[in-house]
Amino acid sequence: MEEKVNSFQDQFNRLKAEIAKVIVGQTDIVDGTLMAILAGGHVLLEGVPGLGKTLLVRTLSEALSLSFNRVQFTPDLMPADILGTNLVVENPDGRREFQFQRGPIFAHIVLADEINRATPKTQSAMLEAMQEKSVTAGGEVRSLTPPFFVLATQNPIDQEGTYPLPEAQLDRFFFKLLVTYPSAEELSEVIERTTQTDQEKVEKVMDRETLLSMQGLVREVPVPSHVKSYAVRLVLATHAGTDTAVDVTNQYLRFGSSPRGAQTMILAAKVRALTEGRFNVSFDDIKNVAMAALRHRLILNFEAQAEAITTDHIIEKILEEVPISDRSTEVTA
Amino acid sequence: MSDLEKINLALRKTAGRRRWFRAWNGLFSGLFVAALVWLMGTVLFKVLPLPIEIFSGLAIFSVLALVMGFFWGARRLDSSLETARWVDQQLGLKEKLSAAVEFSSSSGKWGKVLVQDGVRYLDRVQPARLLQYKLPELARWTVLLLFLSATLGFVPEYRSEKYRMDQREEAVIQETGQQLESFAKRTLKQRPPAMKPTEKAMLSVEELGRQLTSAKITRADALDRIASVSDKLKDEAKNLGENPAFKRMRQEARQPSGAPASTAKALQKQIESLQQKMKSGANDPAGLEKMKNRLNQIQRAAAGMNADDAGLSPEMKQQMAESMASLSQMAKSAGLSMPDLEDALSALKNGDLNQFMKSLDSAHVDLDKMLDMAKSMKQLQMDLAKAGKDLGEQLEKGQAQAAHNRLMDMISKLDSGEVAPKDLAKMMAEVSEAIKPAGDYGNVQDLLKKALSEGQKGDSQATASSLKAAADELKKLMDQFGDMESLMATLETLQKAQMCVGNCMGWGQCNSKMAGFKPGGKPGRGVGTWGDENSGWFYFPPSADRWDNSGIEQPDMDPRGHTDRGQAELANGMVPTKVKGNFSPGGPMPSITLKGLSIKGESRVNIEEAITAAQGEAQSALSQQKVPRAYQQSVRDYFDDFSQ
Repeated sequence: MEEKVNSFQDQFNRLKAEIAKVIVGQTDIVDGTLMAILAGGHVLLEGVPGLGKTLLVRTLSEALSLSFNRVQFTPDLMPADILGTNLVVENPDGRREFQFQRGPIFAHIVLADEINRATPKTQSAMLEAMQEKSVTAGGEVRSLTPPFFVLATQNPIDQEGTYPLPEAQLDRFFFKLLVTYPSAEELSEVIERTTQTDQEKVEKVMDRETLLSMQGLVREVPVPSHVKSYAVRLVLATHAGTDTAVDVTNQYLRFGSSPRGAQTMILAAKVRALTEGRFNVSFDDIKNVAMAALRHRLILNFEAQAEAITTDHIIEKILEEVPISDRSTEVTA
Repeated sequence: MSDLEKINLALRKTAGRRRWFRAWNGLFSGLFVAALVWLMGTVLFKVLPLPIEIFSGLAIFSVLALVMGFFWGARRLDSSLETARWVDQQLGLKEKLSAAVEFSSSSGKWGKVLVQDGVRYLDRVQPARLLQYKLPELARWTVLLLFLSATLGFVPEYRSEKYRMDQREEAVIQETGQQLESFAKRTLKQRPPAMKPTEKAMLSVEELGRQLTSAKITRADALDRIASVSDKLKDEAKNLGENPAFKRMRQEARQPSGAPASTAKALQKQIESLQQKMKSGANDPAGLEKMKNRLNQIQRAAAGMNADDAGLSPEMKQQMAESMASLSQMAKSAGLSMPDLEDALSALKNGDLNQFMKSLDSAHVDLDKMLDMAKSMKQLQMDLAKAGKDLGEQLEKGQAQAAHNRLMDMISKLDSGEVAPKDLAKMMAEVSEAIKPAGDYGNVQDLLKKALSEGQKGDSQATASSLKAAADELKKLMDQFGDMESLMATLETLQKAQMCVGNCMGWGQCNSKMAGFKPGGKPGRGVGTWGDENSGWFYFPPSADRWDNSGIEQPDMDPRGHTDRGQAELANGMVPTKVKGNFSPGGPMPSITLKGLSIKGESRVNIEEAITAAQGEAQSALSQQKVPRAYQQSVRDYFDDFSQ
């Protein structure tokens, strides 16, 4: 078991190193994305244009020996354009029949670029695929080959002609990662790498089987009951108007996190424990992943919007106010 | 030892240390609570009329809080899992120990891995370093609270005047009750009453004392109760006091002689015995005193010569010898034999100054003894002169005990049957003489008459029987007299109790504040007041007897040197009001209202007598400046109205 954990850590570090050949900085984003992939979840990357969101996903697909499809979401994109459609084709016998033409969703990694530019109808076409890992077209359910990840990007500015993702759609994303501007050093490095003739070539460092086995190991990691309880209490603290809610929740939230928030935190914490070579999940793991796991699952009320309060601010407060232990330890050394 | 056992052992040690650490902190928490409650209690005591006993309660609470705090902290021993979680948190072990403990019992492979992982960090689990005993933060606040409480101790507590007065009244009433109860008990034990009514009256005093001690009653109520019992006792004493025999017995009891009960015969015996001891006829204390003074002079002169160490000059020796010879002559003429004086004279002649001094000392001692005996004899002779010589005189002088003894003497002689007719006649003559004075002694006179007639008939037995009856009657009278004395003493105590309660003064204070004394309660002339460091050491009980002072020239008690300063000004509420009225049944009495004690009750003397007595007392009080100046005119007017 110890070997498996060590191997997991090695594989993770190799993958991260390979990505780092192309992506400068953005460690949290890379870590978050890899955690989501290892936990079997989808990621929503949000950031202004030009910060390397698409490049990150493309690099990731290159480093993994997995099929990759990119869909550029536009307002006129139709569900069939993503899922596929039945076409009338002539078979060798000369007879005509309907044949399902697979859409770009049928890949291991799907990049949904600028997902908020598609209409809600098209966005919703992704729901089944993301949750059930299957697609229903022409009355027939077609499974997607595991592993299946949707890595979506969206632009927080330039909102004209965009359609905010519905809550149900958002909830299906494992993480929502906010891509920020690079630092001065990182920017220098980006310029250095991208304005030369020689470009770093990304090698495939992980095949599908390895990834699947790593995903299996993640689910085995034990979570101590009090750590699990902490994750539960964090989620319950987001439920405004209940006994478990904290003050900031009651003041600024309209709706709190769904159970998927707790599931996400635990799974992500497990991945984090393994990536650090540990055999169990700790409180730090939960705290570390709470922001990415919960920020898109909280719905602000009017007061919060008016005061420009973000969900990140609320989650910070919740982390401060919810004690890690049910019975506070009264003795301090 | 397996890895899991190692982990559990380390966690058990840590859990034990945590328990005692919690007890330590609990102790200080208890101390803090106790200090807080103590401070609050002190504050409340300072501002509210709470009894001092609340501090006993606070002390008990404080101890309990400490003990409770300690045991509350130590009450629970944490489980291994709880301890592991706490250790993880304290050492930042990323929940390795708690996961190891939690999953150690799981059958999967993860349990083993977690235990192996956890045991790697055991060397960091050191309970003594994790939990170091030191004063908690609460201890500082506790010290502050205790300091505040101690400081508050010096702040005088606020109590309203009414509350202070009530407290003082209550204390005085209780003290008075205790004194009455103990007095009644002591009297009943030491001198049990002979008669039922007296015993009942004494028991009522004891009960009164108990009521005053135990029940919470007002001053007016207490005074009412004391007055009620006093009335009962007065009635009882009055009933007893109507017996004329008691007048004589009381006169005898007031005699300063120490042996009222001694018979003349016994006194004569004592005198003879003393004369034998003296072996000489020198029984004049004045002469002996003179000799003693002369001897003292010689001794002083001799001591001076001895101190000079210059030896005796012939002139001095001659002078000394003359003095000695004169003293010796005085002794001889007084019938005294003093060989030491002769020795001293011969030592003087030989020039042996030391022997001379020793002989003088011996002579001095002998002279002192002689003087004492002479004084005793003089006293005995005086007593003998006072003592009744026979039954008649004894009864006449109220010497009931002596008379009783004489009767018992006669009875024993008669009972022995060896009384000669001559002696019997003599005895009967003595009885005959006693019949007249026995008139005041109830049936004693009749019984003596009976004894006389039987004695004249020569019936010794019947005479003895009658005399026995007379002796018993006399004994009964003595017992009754004893009862009356007890009642008088009890009445006096009740008066004192009334004074204490009425004036709201302690039992001891009532003793010292006697009329005629200086403001400090001490006798004598002087300026200013004396320190009252020994309250009650001078106590002159007021005489319960009545005596007639008519015909006695009282000194002029009118004040001298007082200029008339006119009427003193009084506050409006204190101005006496005067109501004019007539003496008619049911009509208003002329009265004035004065601030002070008002004792209600039923009068049992004629109004005329009461008025005369009251006027006399008022005049006396006015002349002795006992009435405040502002009220003097009102009092004069009031009592003048009675005359009209």
